[in-house]
Amino acid sequence: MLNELNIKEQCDYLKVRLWECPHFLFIIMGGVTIAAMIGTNIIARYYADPELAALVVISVTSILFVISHIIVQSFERIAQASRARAEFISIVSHQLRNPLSSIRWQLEVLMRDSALDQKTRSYVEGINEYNNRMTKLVNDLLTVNRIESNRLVLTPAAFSLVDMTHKVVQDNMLFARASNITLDVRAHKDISLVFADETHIRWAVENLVGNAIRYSNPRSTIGITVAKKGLDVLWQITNQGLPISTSDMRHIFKKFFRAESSIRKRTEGSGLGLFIAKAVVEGSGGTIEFSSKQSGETKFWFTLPRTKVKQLSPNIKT
Amino acid sequence: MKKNILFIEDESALQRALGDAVRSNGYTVQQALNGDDGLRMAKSEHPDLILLDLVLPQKDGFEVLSAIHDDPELKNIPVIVLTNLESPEEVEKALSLGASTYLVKAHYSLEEVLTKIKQVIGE
Repeated sequence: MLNELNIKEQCDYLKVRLWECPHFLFIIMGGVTIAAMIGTNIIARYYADPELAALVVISVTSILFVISHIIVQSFERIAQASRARAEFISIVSHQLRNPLSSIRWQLEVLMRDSALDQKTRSYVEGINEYNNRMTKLVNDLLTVNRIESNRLVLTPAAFSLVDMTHKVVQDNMLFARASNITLDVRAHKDISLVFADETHIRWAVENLVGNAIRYSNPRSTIGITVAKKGLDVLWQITNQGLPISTSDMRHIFKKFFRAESSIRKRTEGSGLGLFIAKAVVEGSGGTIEFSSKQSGETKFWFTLPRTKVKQLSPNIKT
Repeated sequence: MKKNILFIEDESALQRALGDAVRSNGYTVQQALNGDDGLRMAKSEHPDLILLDLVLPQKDGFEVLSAIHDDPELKNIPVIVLTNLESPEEVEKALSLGASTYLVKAHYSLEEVLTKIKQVIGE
């Protein structure tokens, strides 16, 4: 709140000069309006000349008009800068994705080759892992860009959150084993399908599982449960590690935010995962929350609406 | 008889990688590096499936899709769009021009692309 009153800080944040900064100009406009009212009052009281009063009003109106014009121009400049930044990220990301996809597919062909010796294979797998990490970062930047410009399109369809969770856990098994962490999934096969955008929800699940592994104590167990909850399906992940501090809690879903515990543990991460997870879950009609105890137990959970019969394609059964 | 797939893609490294993977799954693959050649080959070879990039030299992917859509002899050939473009307008335009499936390369592994190919080709 105090930061919002700090005009200089606000103008620095927007990267505009003081006399072009809307926050500063609003205050000037307020000052001019108050001065004009007092001035008009004094003139009316001491000089009973209506022409003089009209002249003052015209002058003040002209000044206010000029200030308003500068404010509108400043807003336009800020909006244009924001648009240019979004376009820049979009172009760069697309240009980066082509070579990254090409590298990924070529590495996958190489990794299928059974004649590859162990040493070469481990190098190829290492390159593949870094390539996947870069692809993920570029994808995340594009998604954030879309969320911010209200252009994220979610295509809901019926799918099994249980099956997806098992797949994501399987993909993260090596990562978990390397960190000496056990992943325990508890879900009934017969839990209804959810109705959401499968690709984006998978990113959210991948981020939550990846974070839990990164921030867990070695030799601990991460528990994942998928259960019915009213008209929704509840997905929850619990891990034991460094707790999230109270001061970090209100920023946890903000973009580029990295908690103090993540910096202390020197973990990888862009600070975009939870921001995207929140946007995607809420955009799918669900909610996402978390809790963290001082004992080190941290839980993240989200809900997604269960598929209604009318949303099913004819060949799918819940 | 082996099913024949036409892959229209201007990045030769990517074309080689997917081409090898598709061939090793028992398909015949023909490749074109631009939209004009792709369309010419589609007319002469009548493939069972077309894999189509959207950013292509000469005729781009949308023009190729449109030409396939308007040609009574080609319009029944399923087309999988394989691209890194993914704005809602681009996806909608490609699907409205008759693409069977729209895949964003950066979101799919080779294995996943192969699964989609098998689904679309009906195997």
